[in-house]
Amino acid sequence: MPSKTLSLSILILTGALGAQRGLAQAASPEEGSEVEIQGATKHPIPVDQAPQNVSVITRRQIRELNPRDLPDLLQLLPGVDVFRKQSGEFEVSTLGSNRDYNNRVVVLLDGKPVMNPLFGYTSWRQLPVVLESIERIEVIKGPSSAQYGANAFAGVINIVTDQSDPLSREGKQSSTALGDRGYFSQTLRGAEWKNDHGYTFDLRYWKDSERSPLVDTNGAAVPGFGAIPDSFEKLIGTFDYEKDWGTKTRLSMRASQVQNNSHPTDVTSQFNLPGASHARDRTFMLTADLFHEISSRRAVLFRAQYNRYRTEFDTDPLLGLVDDTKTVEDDQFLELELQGRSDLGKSKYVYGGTFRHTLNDGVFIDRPDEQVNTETVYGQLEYQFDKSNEGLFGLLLYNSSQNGFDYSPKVSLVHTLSPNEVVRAGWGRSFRAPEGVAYFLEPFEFASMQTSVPGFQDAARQALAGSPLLNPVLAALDSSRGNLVSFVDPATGQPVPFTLPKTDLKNEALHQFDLGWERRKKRYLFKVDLWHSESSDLIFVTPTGKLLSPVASFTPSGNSAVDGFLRAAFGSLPPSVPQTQFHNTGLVQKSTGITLEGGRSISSRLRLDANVTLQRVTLPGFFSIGAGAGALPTDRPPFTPPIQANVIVRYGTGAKSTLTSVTHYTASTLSSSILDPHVFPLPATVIEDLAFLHDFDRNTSLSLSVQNVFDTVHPEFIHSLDISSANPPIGGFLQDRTWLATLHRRF
Amino acid sequence: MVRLSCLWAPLLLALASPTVAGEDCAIAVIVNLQTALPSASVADVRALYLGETTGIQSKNLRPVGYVAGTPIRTLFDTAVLDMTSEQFAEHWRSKRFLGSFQKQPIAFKSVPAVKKFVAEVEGSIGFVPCSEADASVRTILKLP
Repeated sequence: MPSKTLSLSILILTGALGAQRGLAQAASPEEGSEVEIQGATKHPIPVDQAPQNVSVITRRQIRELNPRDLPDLLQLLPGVDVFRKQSGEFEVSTLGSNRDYNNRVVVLLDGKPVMNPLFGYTSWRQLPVVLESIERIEVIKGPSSAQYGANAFAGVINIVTDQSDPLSREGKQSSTALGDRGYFSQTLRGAEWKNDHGYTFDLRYWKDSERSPLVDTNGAAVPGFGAIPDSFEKLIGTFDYEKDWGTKTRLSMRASQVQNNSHPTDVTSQFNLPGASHARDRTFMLTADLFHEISSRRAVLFRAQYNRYRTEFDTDPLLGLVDDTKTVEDDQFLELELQGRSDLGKSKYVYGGTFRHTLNDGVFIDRPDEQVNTETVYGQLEYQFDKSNEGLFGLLLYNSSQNGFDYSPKVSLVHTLSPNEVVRAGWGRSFRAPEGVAYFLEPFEFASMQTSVPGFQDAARQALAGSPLLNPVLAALDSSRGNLVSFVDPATGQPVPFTLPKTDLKNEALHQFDLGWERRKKRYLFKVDLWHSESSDLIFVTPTGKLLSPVASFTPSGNSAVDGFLRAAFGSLPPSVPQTQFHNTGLVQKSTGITLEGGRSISSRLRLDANVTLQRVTLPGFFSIGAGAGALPTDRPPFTPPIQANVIVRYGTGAKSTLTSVTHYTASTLSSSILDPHVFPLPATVIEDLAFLHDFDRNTSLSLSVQNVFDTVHPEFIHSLDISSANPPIGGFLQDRTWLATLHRRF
Repeated sequence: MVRLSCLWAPLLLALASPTVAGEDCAIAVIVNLQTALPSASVADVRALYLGETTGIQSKNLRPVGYVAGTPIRTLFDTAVLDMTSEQFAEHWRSKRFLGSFQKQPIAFKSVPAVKKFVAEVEGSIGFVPCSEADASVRTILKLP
């Protein structure tokens, strides 16, 4: 293993010149304290001085492991949960906080949010970033709302690229990747710097398909899924322009777009509908940053950001009932931020405010209050008590036109025991705004269904035109634009009006304590982090009962799809069938865990790293395993595996070649359905990677990787809205082996 | 008067320009051979290493140096930057905290590493003991 100082040299060299000279040979992020991160404090600090539990993936690891996608890397980090969904989509979260459409972590691209403005979650498929441009991925585990506002509930994932660094990556590069299952990727990159301005561009065409068909626990193909083609192809383009005025002022502008064709979209696939076709996503992101160093002690940054997520579905995304019905979801937000920084020696301040205007429009949302304004103000003080002790104190105030006021404080202390050893302790409160959930649940509440599901209306109208009972219902659906829906009481023949309450959800809140210790030396690392958190005001969907009791009978239309949907939406009529609704459950979820990391260079060529995450997450009184009479109560919520572990063996077969072996293990966990409180056990998963990287010279390298997968695909809410039958939850398993070869070339 | 000026001119020139070969020399500031920069002053080099400029004589340069604690680094910090290594580190820590887009000088561990880097990378600038300044690089400034 290189010495610490040599690691430093190589590391800095990589950041500054790696792209130009083909010297992307950074030290392993856990080998030394020289790696800097900025997601934890909004400015660069050495990773071992971070006031929180942090893990990092570097460019070197990405090159050496040659992954098919980013979540393959993230799952190697302790305390990070990665769960595979259908269609190659993932949910990524930290410290046992995962969920479907996860908006409990904030994903940043170079410090800027890239979440879907409707749901608040991040679609990993739609990230406007090229794999080859990533310098590092910082995962900050634990509450971070004090810095990043709502939804930085359980952590932040900051993807740092070289896109705004034309001086360091001048020249042209190409990467070509081929793999099985139709994997193909071609990336072209370029950068130029002239005197006081420069640009970079990245362009990637990428196609991939899901791996083998899903199988059930007996190895048999999962019904339905095999019939759905499952692949995507996309084009990612970014253009970044920098302009300097002297050494104090810089303007950075970036435009990026992702054009993604999915077969099908993950939404349609989850409904397990053979009629589901495909969708086209377009993600557009435009940012402008103006930085000015006022003096040697003060600087100011202004950021303007516009994100737009537009999806065109070939079929109705909720039902897929009408093949020729095209629907569009179009969500966008504009965010402005003004930030100041002051360095007063022992005390350093970061302070500022943001304003975000969100506009959601389309198939999921169609109502008057679809625009949301959110404002935050924040301040952060880092104070150096003495050479060994430093504290961070942060506070963010939040106001949303939809969710009202909230706040997030944060305190942490870092004590340096020796140059190689630190301990840290922290506490923070964070919150998760329910906007995504609130919006998403509305289509499933009867009151808003007529406006949210045009495909349903069309199909239902056709199918039910002859039904004397349901015609009035359709009329009510057509006429109602609010929450008022009238039903016909068959006993009297008169309409029975009733009102469904508008969703009124509070933010989820989380308190977390954490304690960490780490020791780094030239040849080894040992790191321990413990945490305990409690989440209150949890939002879940639960039975609310008898909402549809006025409807006393139901005449099947004969169209199984429509009938099935009505059963799912209204309950199995006749009346008094529980309906479901999202609400604050009043329950408290507790999470206690520990992450252990160790690494040691056995020789100059061989290094061994391993990490283990042990966690216990409880949510008493809510879930049961299975449904119906045989259901067993459990206090274990879904997506919270008690054990995760990784073993990474890296062998340098000379200066130019590296062989890396990775084994990932996730213990048996539970999955869930979004529409009821039942959970379902899934077996342990094992993923093994073997990757070989060879640098032919400074300009050419070849990466080869083989991945052996036994992984779960979570059923999510498939069964509850499976309109074709009353199937039990459908999940499945990938049992597969894939390969990938990537050729990198610099010109 | 004219004769006096002529007499003093070479001396003034010698003081203002790089130390000539054969004189007492401790540190040689070097650039890549492809870098069209014949000479530089101490003030130029200082400003560059502190991130106050991006180049010398309109030529963008990328400074490289040494990790703290190496003798030549200590000497350079004192003679050129007029600060200690700790002050230099604090200077760049502060710039990074503020968000400066200027890059801190790349730090190497050894003299051969610096010389090799400068010899290979156009636009780079570094410093080595004068005895190490050979034909693979161009010396633009010598410091006693």
